[in-house]
Amino acid sequence: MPERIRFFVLRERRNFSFVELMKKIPRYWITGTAVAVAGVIAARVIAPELKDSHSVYIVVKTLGHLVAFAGIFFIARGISKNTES
Amino acid sequence: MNNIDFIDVIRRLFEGITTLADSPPVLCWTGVGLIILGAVLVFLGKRGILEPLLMIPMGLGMIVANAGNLYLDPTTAIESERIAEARWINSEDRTDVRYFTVQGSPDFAEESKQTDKYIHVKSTDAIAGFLKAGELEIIDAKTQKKINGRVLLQGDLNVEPLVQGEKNLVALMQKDWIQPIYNYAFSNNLIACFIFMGIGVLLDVGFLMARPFQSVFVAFCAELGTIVTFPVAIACGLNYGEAASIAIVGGADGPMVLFTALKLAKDLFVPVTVVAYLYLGITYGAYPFLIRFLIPESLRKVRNKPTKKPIKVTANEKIAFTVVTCAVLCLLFPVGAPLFCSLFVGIAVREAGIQSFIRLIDQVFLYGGTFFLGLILGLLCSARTLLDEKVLILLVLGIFALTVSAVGGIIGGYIMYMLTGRRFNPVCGIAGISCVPTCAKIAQKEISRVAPDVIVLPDALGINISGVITSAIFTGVYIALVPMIGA
Repeated sequence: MPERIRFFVLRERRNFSFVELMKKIPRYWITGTAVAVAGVIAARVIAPELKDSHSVYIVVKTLGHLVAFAGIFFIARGISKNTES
Repeated sequence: MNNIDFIDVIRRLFEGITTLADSPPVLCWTGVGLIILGAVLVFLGKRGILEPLLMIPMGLGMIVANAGNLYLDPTTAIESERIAEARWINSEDRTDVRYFTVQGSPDFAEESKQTDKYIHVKSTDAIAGFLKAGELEIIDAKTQKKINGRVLLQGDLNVEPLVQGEKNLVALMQKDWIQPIYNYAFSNNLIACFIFMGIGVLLDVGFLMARPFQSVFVAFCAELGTIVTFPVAIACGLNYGEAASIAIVGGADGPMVLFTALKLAKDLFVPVTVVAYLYLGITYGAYPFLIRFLIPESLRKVRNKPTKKPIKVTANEKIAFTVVTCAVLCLLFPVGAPLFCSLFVGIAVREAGIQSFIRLIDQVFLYGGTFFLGLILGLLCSARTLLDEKVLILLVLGIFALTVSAVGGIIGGYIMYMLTGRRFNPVCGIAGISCVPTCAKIAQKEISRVAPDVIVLPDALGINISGVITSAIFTGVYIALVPMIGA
């Protein structure tokens, strides 16, 4: 097989396996992690930008923490449900 | 033969007794009390009433710190940076003891009037000069007579906790035997982190992941003492850092208290940590009575709602959960990252099944850390370190925090009892206190007393493990918030 074609085939295989892998990961892992990261971004990135208004800053920071914890909780809940069923 | 002063000979022979007797009465009697307390702790540790791993080295250290007192040689005295504590003792009969008051110090105006008690000097350098010379002749204000005396500083050769000067620190590390371990492993929280790694190796997060809602909810309720004690401590006159440090006692997690106190209240960390560890020893004995008092026997017999099928969380899921949780918590509370890292690395090593690391952490780090923690805490318990006006407040607040947390846990247990349609044993609420695995064992033991066939240990362990993570989160919150509100 020519070198270029072999390269494309390998890349296709890699893509294929990655998609398959993503499909295998239960949805609660992806959703939970995304929610937790969103919470972190709210608490650590967005909130400091709103420091001019102290009350808004506190609200966004607190909400960010709560959302991050909710993400972790979502994963734990998903594992618990998945294993039980 | 007639010229020999026998009293002086005895004093020289028993220097520990002489220094103790030469101390101000409060210091002297506190020292004696601490020696007795140390002996009691060793005895109670040996009998198993208090935690022997901690209490035996701590009790013995306490005895050594208070009995092994001596007058420091002038160089060591100056290096200890406690020059202001030096005192003058008249050479004749050693009954006249005077302290130094430094010009410009807050109490100078008041103290300089008391000429029979204080000798006023321009700066601490002058006291250092007297310490070097050893002798000082003063003129008594009342009799106008010259009295010759010695300038001395009392101390020990164990550890100086508050030395800051680089040169003095290096010098003392060559003199005080435990100073290197104190500086390289204790004051930078390495020991606290080692113990936390050990706790991580002992934890099975599967119990928490099997019942996440009940575990997190009850553990959060059991942090009631951590939340409530903070404003109470401020109302009692403590500053934010000190209030946060004593509030963390409510989480009943020794390494957390040590970590918070070293970060936020360095001057008061010895009493705070000692109070925490003493009370943690007492929780074994006191919580069963609290459970019996707050939960009627009929409710203590309740069986927890069983799951439809047994929940078995795989090691891969536990590791993935550990990775995500550790990363998120570190991103949220970077100041608490050492604690999170230690706990989750322990959990990850356990789940990965790396036996050599498990043995290293479990048998070397955990036990070595606990031993040195106990010993160093004991050696820090000298009368002069503990004799602070705030100690009494700390004693009251410590027991308050632990009691309120226990009550909060039981309230959480009652709420879960209602939410699950009366199929949750409220005794499990006590496991929210993060003393792993003691509180879970206490819950099971108390239930087994009235209903031997009711098993709640898996649920209690889940709540207990969640309690550790929750108290680490609260530590992170306090360490992050206190400097902000204090500024």
